[in-house]
Parts: sequence; structure tokens; C-alpha cells
Amino acid sequence: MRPRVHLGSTGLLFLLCLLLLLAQGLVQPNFLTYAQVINLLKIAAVLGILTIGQTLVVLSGQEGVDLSIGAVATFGAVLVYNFSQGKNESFPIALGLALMAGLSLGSLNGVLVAYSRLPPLVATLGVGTLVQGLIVWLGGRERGAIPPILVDLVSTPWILGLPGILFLWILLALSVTWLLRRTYYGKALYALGSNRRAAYLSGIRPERYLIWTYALSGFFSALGGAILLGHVQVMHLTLGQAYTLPTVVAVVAGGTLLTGGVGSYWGSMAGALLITLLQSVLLTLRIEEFGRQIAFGVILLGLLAVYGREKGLRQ
Amino acid sequence: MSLMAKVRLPYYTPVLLLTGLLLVLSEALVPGFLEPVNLSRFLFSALPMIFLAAGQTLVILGGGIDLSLGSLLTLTSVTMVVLFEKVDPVIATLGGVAAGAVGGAINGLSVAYLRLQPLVATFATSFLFGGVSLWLLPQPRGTVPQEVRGLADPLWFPLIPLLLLFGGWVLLRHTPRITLLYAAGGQARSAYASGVQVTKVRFGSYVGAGLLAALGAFFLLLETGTGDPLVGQPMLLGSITAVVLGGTRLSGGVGGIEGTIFGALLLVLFRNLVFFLGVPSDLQVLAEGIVVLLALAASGYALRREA
Repeated sequence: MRPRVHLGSTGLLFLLCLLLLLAQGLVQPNFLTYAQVINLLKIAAVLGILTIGQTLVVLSGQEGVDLSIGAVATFGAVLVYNFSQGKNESFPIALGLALMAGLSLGSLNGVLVAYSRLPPLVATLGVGTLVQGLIVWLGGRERGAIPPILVDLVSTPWILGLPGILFLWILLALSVTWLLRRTYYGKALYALGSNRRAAYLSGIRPERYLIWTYALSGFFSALGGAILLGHVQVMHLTLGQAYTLPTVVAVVAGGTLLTGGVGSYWGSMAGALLITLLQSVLLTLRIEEFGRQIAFGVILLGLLAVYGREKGLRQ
Repeated sequence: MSLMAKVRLPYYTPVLLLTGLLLVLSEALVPGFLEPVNLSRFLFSALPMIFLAAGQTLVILGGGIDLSLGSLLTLTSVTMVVLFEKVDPVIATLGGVAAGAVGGAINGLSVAYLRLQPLVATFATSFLFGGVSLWLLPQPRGTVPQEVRGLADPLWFPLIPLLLLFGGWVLLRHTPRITLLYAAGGQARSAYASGVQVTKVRFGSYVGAGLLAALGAFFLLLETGTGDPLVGQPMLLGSITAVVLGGTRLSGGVGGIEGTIFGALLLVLFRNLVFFLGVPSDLQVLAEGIVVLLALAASGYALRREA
């Protein structure tokens, strides 16, 4: 059975992105250059990669949401920064370490959500605080540097002026979609999200899949953090913090239901593009930080009002 | 044994005992902690968290959660600071309290009337309130008038709000309004079927939380004496932890503000202790993170056992 087509079905959303881009071109005639579009895509790719984990977690249902993404991303970046010491040769080991750390912190989220009755939001917010503590402890002590390979990945054009990060994003998107549509894990995740009890009764062990889902979220957050480091090119202790809310907005905007079980990563990609474009519009309109925060809050509320309303008590 | 059976211990007995234990421990490790001067200073510093957590308790009892309370505390304190420069301190304080009520009403509208999921809806409004705070006060600045700060001079000052909150809650707890709150949070559908106006009650709980957050902001201003557009956000998780430590169930319907008061005291005591023990500052965040997580996990585990 095909899922119901929502207002924000992915095609429509991509169309909306195109319209926003054109609108911006009209406001600022010299805006619509090839280089500028690629630049926007680059920014969207960073957000998009950080959104992979959030998509999986939201799909798992029962108000699943991962608020530790920003902190875990920063932690991954700190590990890469400190352990690679700016050398390409030691980058693979440093990245491996960061990914392992992401997996373990994600599993911690998963264990908390699966075995305690805490709402995921509270559990992941708690883990986020813990990780922030780790960041301050570890990141404040040692000096490091950014390996050039990371900077190259984001900024050096490969083919047709497109940098490697865009290819990486598409590769990851294809893998995630394969994971969701073609593997047992994916089927189980959708089943859990649509009806946890039914899934349990058909032999899916919720705890196992929840832990894996949050672990994967931690994994992709750490990966995204490393890439973010290459994009920003400056290390600071709140590097990823500002990305937590946009990942939630991207997922919701992409048509994935917060109740779980319905949605796709393509939608989240469109959501990430939409947010990046909105941000760029707000920037060109010279709206300051406070205005962007307000705009985000209002947009998220609006999106929730469209998709996320709960059933009334009257039925 | 027969005596024990007759005396029914309140639900917040564990947190009460823990708080007592930590008080004794503090006195043992930091001699002089229990002297009136130090005790008063400690209670004073705990007031903002106590009132914020009391607000969170109202919402959680009603079956919701409010992730915007930290930002709402910021917004109300910023409003007060900005108004202190322009109008009479009393009116300025009332203006801040009104901002708290308006913010709470926005949350209540979103959650109760529009039926948005509380977790994400209040997450969204937290950015709304944070943004408005930054707009009102881009940088930390402003002063609290001397006559206002003077209020807090007497050593017994912190006791008044504490006793008012505790006593007020104990008195109000069995009034119809609060009973309805427990009903709405425990079994929303049954409450609705029995004629409780669940929507109205939930809306009220968010407005109440906004008002209590504004009071917390006022006490914080008394302590710090200046405005800061990012002051409240880091207090959010603490407010939820205090509620959980105090024995209120995150799923709603069980618990109360008495427990939360001790939960918040316990949290602030722990922070003080970590500080006094000379734990390096970069490890303090980590230490608190671990304790918060353990408390949350333990309460979650206890819930699971009960169910």
C-alpha cells in the first residue's frame, strides 16, 4: 500500500525550493550564478548529512527525536581535530575514532529510550548535556588542526565545478534509501513507527531496532560533524549546536510524520534545501540573528500545524 | 510496625531524605555551610530553579512538557530589565510577569487548542521567545534598581517565596482546579468523558508555568542584578530533572510542587558541592550531565517497573 500523499510530497517541495531560488534571483539580480547555486547546495549538503540520523529516529515513532545531534557532531569534530593534528595520514584513524564515539553515544540514547520510559526528547537532551560536558573537557585541553582533506572535500571542485561533498551526499542518500526500502532493518523501522505493538506482535524486537536507530543517528552525526569542520574551517566548542533544530525542521518539512512510520530521506533532503534557501533569503533581506530564530520557530509551528496535529479527545 | 502502617509517608520522602543527606554532607565537607548567612545565600541562589521547576511541574502534571520554559524565563527577565530603565519598578516587574503569561498562553494555545505535539511545539516556541529576547536585549546589560535589589537584603528573605510556594501548593492541591489538572494529566480520555474540560485545564497549566517562570526570572534578576539574553536556556534541562527528582511522573497525573521544591534544592546543592570540592570547571559540566542522566534514567526505570 502506498502511503498517503501529503501536502509536502517531495516533488512539490523541490519545486518550492526552485521558486524560492528564482524569487531570490529576482530580488538580487546578480545572485543566480552557477557558483552561488553550488555554494547553496554545499551548505544544504552539510545540513542534509546531519539530517540522516534525525530522519531515521523520527521514523521510529512514538515521538522519536534526537536532540543530541548538534553535540555529537561537535564531539566528532573535536575528535577529528585533536587526533588528526591536521595531517591527512592520521585522518582515517581520527575519523574512525569519531565514528565509533558517535555510534556509542547514539547507542546510549538508544538504550535510554528503549529501556526507560523517558520521552526520547528528554533522554537525548540529557545525553546532549553529557556530550557537551565531554566536549568542554576534551576540546578545551588539547590543540589540534583541521586535516586539509576535509577542507578539499567541501571546497575543491571535482567535476563541472561540483565539490566532492555533493557526490558524497548523493551517495549517502542512495545508501540510506536502500537501507530504508530494501533491507529488513528498513522494513522493521517503518513497522515500528506505524504501530509499535503490532510490530512487536509480528516478531520485531523494538529494543534492538531502537538502539540501532539511535546508534546510526550518532554515527551520521559524528560524520556530519567532521564534514562541518571542513566547511566552517574553524574549531569551536559549539560548532554543531545550531544544527539541532534545523535537522528537526528539515525532517518535518520533508513530510516525515513526527508520529513515525511515514516519510523518506528524499523528503528530508528537500527539507534541508528548503531551510538553506530560506536562511539565504533571510540573510539577503538583512535579517539579524534574532529575526532568523523567530522565523524558524514560526515556520516550525506552521509546519506542525499542517502535519503534526494530534487527534482530538472527542474522536 | 502498627504505627508505621498508620503513617502514610508522602511521595516525596526519598528526595526529602536525599536533600537532608546532602545538606549534612555539605556541612561536613564545607564547615559553616549551615550557618544562617550561607544557608540564606544558598536558598537565594536556588530560588530561580525552584520556581522554574515548579512551573514545569504544572505542565508535566497536566500531561505535557514545556521545552520553552528556559527561554521564557529569559524573555521575562529581559522584559523586566528593559522596563526598569523606563518605568516604575513595580510596573516593570508586572510587565515581565505579563510577558510570562503571554508566552505561556502561546504555548497553551499551540498545545491545548491547536493540538500540536507538546515536545516539538514548545521546542519551536523556545526559539520564538529566544529570538524576541535577543531583539529586546542584544547584549548583556542593564541594571536592577537598588530599591528592588534591597528587597533581598534580609537574611530571611528567601524563606518567604519558598514558604508561599510550598504553603500555597499544599493549600491549593485539593481545590477543584488542581484536582482537574491531575485528572487531565493522568487519563485524559477518561477525564474528558467525565466532563473535565481537558483543553482548558491544559491551557491553564501552560499559563501557570509562564507565570512561575516570570517569578523565577525576578529572583534571578535580584541575584545577578543585570540582564542577559541567554540566561535561561541552560536551565531547561535542570527544571525537568528537578521535577523528576521530586517524584513527579513524566507521564503526568502523579506528583506535585512540594516534591519539585526538594528536587530543585537537591540539584542546586549537588552543583554547589561539585564546585566546593574543587572539581575542575571543565569537568563540572560533565559531572552534572552524568548525574542528570542517572536521575532521568532511574526515574524512567522506576516507571517501567510500576507499569
